[in-house]
Amino acid sequence: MSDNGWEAKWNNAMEYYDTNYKKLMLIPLIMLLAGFVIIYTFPVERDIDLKGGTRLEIVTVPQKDLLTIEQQLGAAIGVDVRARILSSQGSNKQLVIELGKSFAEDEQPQLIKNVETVLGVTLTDNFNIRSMDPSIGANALAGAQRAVLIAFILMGTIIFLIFKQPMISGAVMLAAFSDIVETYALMGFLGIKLSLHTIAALLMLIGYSVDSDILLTTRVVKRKEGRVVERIFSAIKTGLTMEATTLTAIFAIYFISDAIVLKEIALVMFLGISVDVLNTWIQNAGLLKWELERKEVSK
Amino acid sequence: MTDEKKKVDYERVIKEPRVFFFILCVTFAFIVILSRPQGFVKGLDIAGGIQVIIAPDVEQGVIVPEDDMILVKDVLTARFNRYGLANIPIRLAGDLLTQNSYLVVDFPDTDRQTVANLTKQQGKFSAKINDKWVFNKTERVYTDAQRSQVGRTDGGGFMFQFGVDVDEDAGKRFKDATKDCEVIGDDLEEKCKLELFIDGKSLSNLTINAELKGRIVTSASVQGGGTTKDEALANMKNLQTILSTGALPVKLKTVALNEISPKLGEGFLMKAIMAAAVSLMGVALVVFLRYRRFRIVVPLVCTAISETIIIIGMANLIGWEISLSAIAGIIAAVGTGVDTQIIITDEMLRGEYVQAKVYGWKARLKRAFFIIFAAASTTISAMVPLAFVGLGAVKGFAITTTLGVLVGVIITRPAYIRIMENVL
Repeated sequence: MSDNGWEAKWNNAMEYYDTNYKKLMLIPLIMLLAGFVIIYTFPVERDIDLKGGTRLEIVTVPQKDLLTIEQQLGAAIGVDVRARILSSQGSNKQLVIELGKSFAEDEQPQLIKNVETVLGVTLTDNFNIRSMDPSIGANALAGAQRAVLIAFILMGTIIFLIFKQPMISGAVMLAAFSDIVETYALMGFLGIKLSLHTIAALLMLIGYSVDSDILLTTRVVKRKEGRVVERIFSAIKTGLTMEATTLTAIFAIYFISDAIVLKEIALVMFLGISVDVLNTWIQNAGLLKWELERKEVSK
Repeated sequence: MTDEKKKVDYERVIKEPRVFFFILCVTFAFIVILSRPQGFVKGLDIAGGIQVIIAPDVEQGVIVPEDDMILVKDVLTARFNRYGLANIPIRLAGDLLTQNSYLVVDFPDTDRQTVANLTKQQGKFSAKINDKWVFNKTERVYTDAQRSQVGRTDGGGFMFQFGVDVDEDAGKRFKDATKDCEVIGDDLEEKCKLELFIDGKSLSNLTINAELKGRIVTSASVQGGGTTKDEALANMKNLQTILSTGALPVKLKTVALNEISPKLGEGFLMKAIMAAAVSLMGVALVVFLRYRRFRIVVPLVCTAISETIIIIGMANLIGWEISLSAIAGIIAAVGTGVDTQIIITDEMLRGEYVQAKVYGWKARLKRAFFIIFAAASTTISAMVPLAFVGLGAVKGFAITTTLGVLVGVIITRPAYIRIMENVL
């Protein structure tokens, strides 16, 4: 029976975990520290909705290479230009052009003409343009910062109300915190910009992380049957199913949709969930096991 | 896992109040969606158009009272209507956390010059004679054919003129300003010309007929021109609109200008819906691979689909805007729901509940509900602050997710638990 092969592997993993869990916790810890370092060396840039600027999304296959486009357009307008390609499965490739300046109604027609000249393409119903003044960007940023702060406070309070014990609540919050730090670091590393929608994705991530922690803690702490490690592993089984369903949805959104906003939300969530695996099932679980065994010994 | 193939008493399950309520909601939502296609308001992301975000042009730190912004909104609405653009959505939006007020205007496909003209011009009308101010607003603006016309000029261009009336006081000021003017031929002297301004810019310079010297005059004619007939007509129409709807109480500036192509927007919508459908199928597959029993997989997937329908129905009923972020919110909410249901299913599967039926059951249910509320409250507490930020985009995501989670907690999850109780 093929079942035996899986079961044996599962049991081996469980035994290994039982003896080595403290050492395994080093991995998430190193990841967290690496996260801080990466944040410092690869700072995350802000997107136009948080700092102003202009973005054009054009459905076209550019005849020139990106660097040429950047230089020619930059020379024509006198502003730094960044160009990249956004593509999705079996659909229109989009050329994305980003500028650090905002263009109002009287300036946009000229900008559009310049882009048409450089690309050799007429811009009619095949493009989107978004332009925001730095003032509204700063306004959105201030609002977002306050929202994140309020969200953290609310979530922290709820976590305390749910789990009640400081040690456990602390472990859950540490996992959420690590998730955010490490995902933010990856965003900087991969060049994903911070925007209102990526901030929303990060907040959703906290919710997701706490969900898996609720699962873990409910199984491990509130039940009494079996060994701690058995309960942890039964929770892992459920957790992996949850992850698989969430990841399928995320992959579907990322590969099928061609809107920048949706793709970025999917990407950030993917990074966050991947990171959450280690933070929940090794770090958080390890801390719980440690705490429970400590209580056992002190009895 | 017990091998007892329990016969599912479908009738009994459906009659359970929670399950019945759930099925009722789904059916209702279905009917709403099918019978009210107009309930789906398309957001800018999808419908396309030009969106302008306007803010008062004031120094840092100066707060413009909300009443002024409401007046701005009214004047602009009047301008749009006068100009011939009916039903332009214009809404006052505030970033509640930073207390700035903005006006968000969604134009359908319009040219940018028109947008600029209609929104940026403050519209302060004034006139002076010999350096004395006589007029500071118009009482009536004439657009009928007799008193407004466009004609050729000798130079090859076109000019327009239309009549305006001013009030009694202005008329008196005119009398005072002209009574000391010298008459040269048919007209008043060179320095006694009627200079019309709009927003400080000179509009026209008219010589005054000698007959009007020292008289109370309450009408004047505004003149201007253009290189082509169309341009002259457009300029005239623009001025008539601005003058007739009055001046804006505060100067405005554009802080954002977005143009979305309807064609691209449509494409985004299609792809997003496709992504949602594929997600659902993928989730069904994963769930099947894990549990392998139809009596678990079918309720799980069906409740997820039903929940989506209920959320869409609610969105339709309250006229909530369909935007890309709203769709993302629905996927997020349903995804969270599926995850919670997986936790509940596993809780119910675990252990020898055949023996511990009575006591274990209650404890298990309590734990299941606890998990539901806990998970839902963390998501909601993350999304609610976000709903107050930004001027639309992220708001849609936050509100839809919160709505979806609430639907899940109140309607779907209790029904699912009841169904599972009877099925396992």
